[in-house]
Amino acid sequence: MCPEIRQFPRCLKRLLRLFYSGDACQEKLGDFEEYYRAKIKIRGKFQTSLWCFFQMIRLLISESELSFYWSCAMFKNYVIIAFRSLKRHKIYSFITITGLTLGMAVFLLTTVWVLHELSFDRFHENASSIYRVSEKRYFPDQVQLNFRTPGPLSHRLKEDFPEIHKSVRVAMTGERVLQSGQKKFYEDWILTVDPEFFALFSFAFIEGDRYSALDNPNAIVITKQIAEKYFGKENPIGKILTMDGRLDFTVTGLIKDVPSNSHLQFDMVVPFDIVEKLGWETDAWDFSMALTYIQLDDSVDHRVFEKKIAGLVKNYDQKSNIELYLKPLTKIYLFSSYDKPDAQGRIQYVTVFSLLGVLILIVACINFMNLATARSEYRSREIGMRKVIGASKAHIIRQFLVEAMCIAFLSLLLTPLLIQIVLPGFNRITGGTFAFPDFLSVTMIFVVLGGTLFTGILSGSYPAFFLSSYQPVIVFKKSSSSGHRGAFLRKSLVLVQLSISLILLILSAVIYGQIDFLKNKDLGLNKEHVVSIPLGIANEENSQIYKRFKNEITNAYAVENVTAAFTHPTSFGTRAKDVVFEGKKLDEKMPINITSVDFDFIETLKIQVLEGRSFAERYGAERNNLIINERLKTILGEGSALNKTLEIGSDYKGNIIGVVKDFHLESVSNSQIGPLILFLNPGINYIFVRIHPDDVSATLERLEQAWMKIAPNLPFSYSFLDEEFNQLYTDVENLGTILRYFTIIAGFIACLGLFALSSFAAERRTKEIGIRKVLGSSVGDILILLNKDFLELILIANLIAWPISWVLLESWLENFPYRVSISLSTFALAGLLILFVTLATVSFQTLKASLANPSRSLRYE
Amino acid sequence: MRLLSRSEEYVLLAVWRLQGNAYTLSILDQISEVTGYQWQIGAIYVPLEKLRKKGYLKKKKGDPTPERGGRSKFLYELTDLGRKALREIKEVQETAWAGISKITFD
Repeated sequence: MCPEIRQFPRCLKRLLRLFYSGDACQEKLGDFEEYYRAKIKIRGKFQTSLWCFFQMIRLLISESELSFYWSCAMFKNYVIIAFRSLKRHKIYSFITITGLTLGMAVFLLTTVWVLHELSFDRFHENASSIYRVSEKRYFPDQVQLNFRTPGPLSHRLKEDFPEIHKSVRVAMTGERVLQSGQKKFYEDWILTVDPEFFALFSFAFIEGDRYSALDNPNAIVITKQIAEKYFGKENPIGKILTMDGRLDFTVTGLIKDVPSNSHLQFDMVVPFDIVEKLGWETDAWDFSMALTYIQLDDSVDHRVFEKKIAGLVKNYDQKSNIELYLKPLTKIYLFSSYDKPDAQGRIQYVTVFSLLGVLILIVACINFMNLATARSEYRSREIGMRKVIGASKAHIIRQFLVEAMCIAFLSLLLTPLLIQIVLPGFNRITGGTFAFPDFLSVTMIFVVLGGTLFTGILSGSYPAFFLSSYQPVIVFKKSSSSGHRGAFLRKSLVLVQLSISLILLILSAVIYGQIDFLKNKDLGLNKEHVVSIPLGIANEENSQIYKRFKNEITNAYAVENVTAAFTHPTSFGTRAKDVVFEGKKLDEKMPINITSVDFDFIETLKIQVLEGRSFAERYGAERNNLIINERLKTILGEGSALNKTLEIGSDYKGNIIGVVKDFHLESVSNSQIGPLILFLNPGINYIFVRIHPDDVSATLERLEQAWMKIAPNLPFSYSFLDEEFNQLYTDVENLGTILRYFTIIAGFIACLGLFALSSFAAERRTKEIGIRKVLGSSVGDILILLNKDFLELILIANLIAWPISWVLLESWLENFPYRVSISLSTFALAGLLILFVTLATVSFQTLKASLANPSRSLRYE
Repeated sequence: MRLLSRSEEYVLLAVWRLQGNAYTLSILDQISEVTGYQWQIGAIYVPLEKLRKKGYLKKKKGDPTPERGGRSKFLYELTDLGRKALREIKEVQETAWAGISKITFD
């Protein structure tokens, strides 16, 4: 071979071969090669190749301009034919379009939701350089993740590391009473922050200066919503808000309501010093109390920097078991969860729902494919005719793709209607505030167009390639039966639909079971008929209010017990420091919870006492008496724990007087029950009243009257303990609800497809049924004959779906310390349900076919 | 007769002038020489193909040459229809330009 031949770049050859074939290709290849050789001597290899490439592009452009006119003409014809065939087969068209509309609506809704989730915290100007410093606490047999870090950390970081531009502490005050004039409310979303907070985070200011708003120790920055709540239409700047009736704040800034895609949610912001006035230690290295956010210099790699600061706390507190780590701001929401630091965070929901959105769309596309190929015999003559007249395979493919696009775009037109209808419900389930304009963002328009093209191509491609391969000779010679072709693929596709529906059904059933399990699990305490009333702050004044309130209602009819505690049972206890038992420091081995309660706590929540006794008023103040739970008892060791001494902190010694049965200290979905110490203390935050189950509303009214008499300055707000516990599972419950809807929709679309397919099958076999009946088949025989195909499919779908859902469920349930076991009966029931629904769907058609009078179906033969 | 576009006209003329040696690249050179600037190779196929479809040109396979990597040349020839079209173009041109002297442009 002549060496020069290889000079002509191979990729250019390929480019030409891609668009031309036969003589036309040979001619151009020859021309370009000759041209190339003539020019290469003058201009050099690179330039000539580039030149040739541009020439080829130019050639392609001018050729496509020429063909554009004719394509338009054919395109118009394709569209006309598409609409004619839609009109001719109204039921099929209806089913296809309904399915696609549903599929696309679900797809778009999930996309909007997923985009919202992914957009979390990205609106901050410096989002990419902000990190949250969190801690890992090492205990001998476990590692605990904690988002909060010690108070002094922030200043130290900033002083020790020049890479840090800003460092801000954020803590929550918990529920407080705020008052302006006559208006008084409980507020739960108050942040205390260092002054640089608004310089770090770009929350939008309406009034006030973001850099100086928090300089004054009595400053408060509020959102628009809060401003309207307290001050109406007046300008809030300079107005006074009073917290807990003793701290006055002057409004120095008004910001827009915090966007829903911010992981930091708050209504108002006050300077960090307030925390000390609320009685928290801000200078202890072993008390993690604030979230710490830092802004790093852009040039710093956070992974390298993370290693630098990891052991920082040990420099200041040698006993510390804390290791620091960084979490990028944009990953906080997706890859961690507030009440469960070691969980994966929202990303798992985001992945699951994007996947489900696409799956539903695919199920809808499968309907289209199946119906299009099943009906192919109606179109075979048209295709044959087109081919005879001169259409090539490419033309037919193009025609069917255009047809699929038409249907996809037709469904797209209906989708907004559907979205508009379901949007309120969708918002309720997801807790979102999506409105129609959210669907019109630039990204969404790309998604919509991309999704429609995807739908069109996916659902059009198979019919297009399948139908375009028809041989005109065969089409015209044979009378029909072309519907047999592609039956295997059609069955496989139905199988996919059935399997997806079945998997979703099993998943929702088991998840529902798990939610039910979580809600009804024996907590070790009785949460029914307990009213909880928040007091806002644990101070002397509130203790007095509680005492008078207790006296007032204790003897009232329908009130069984009244008690109070420092923490709420849904997240019971704070971490105890320096717990020493027989010379051993217990809290170095594992975290120990401690909280103070009032008399009757154990009785009110009906917690079982295993050993010793509970606190009782006849023993006096019981300052030095403690009650522990079973878990802590096992840690203390063998033998009775009664009358043994626990040292807590440097100056407290307590005598164990009782052991209670373990009860859950927080959401059942979070972790195993930890060790707990209870002691008596007048400092309380919550009042609990056990009421008689009869006539609850009258009792509540009486409670409120008593409250207004004793504490007219405090708002009376209450909730039921069981409801508060149920709220802990909202996240899981939402997952369950959304999955349920996905299941229903996938099932519905699959049923639509089955319905159409069964009617097609029955129609195709009309004559066969007629002959069978003439020869003596009964209606039952025919029903079995027609349903047999579908039965087979359901059986196989079960075989596919069971292992897949089992694996998925196992990996999901692993997250729960307390979980249901997956029982085979759930699988079997789901399979039976699908069987029943499928048979009910197809039987409508098959029954009609088997009841038909054979004389009619055989008339023409 | 349908009027030809200017590029088609030049291509047709070039084929006529080249008389039996008309293939893509020689046509390209010929036109470039007549019009005074370098025509691009990508611009020549479309008019050639259009003329062939209209029946003014016919295409035949020539001998393979080494500079084409052993591929055949494709030679173009005028058909009778093509020759007639050229004649008509010339007449139309002359009629259109009749009476306008060179001086008018100065």
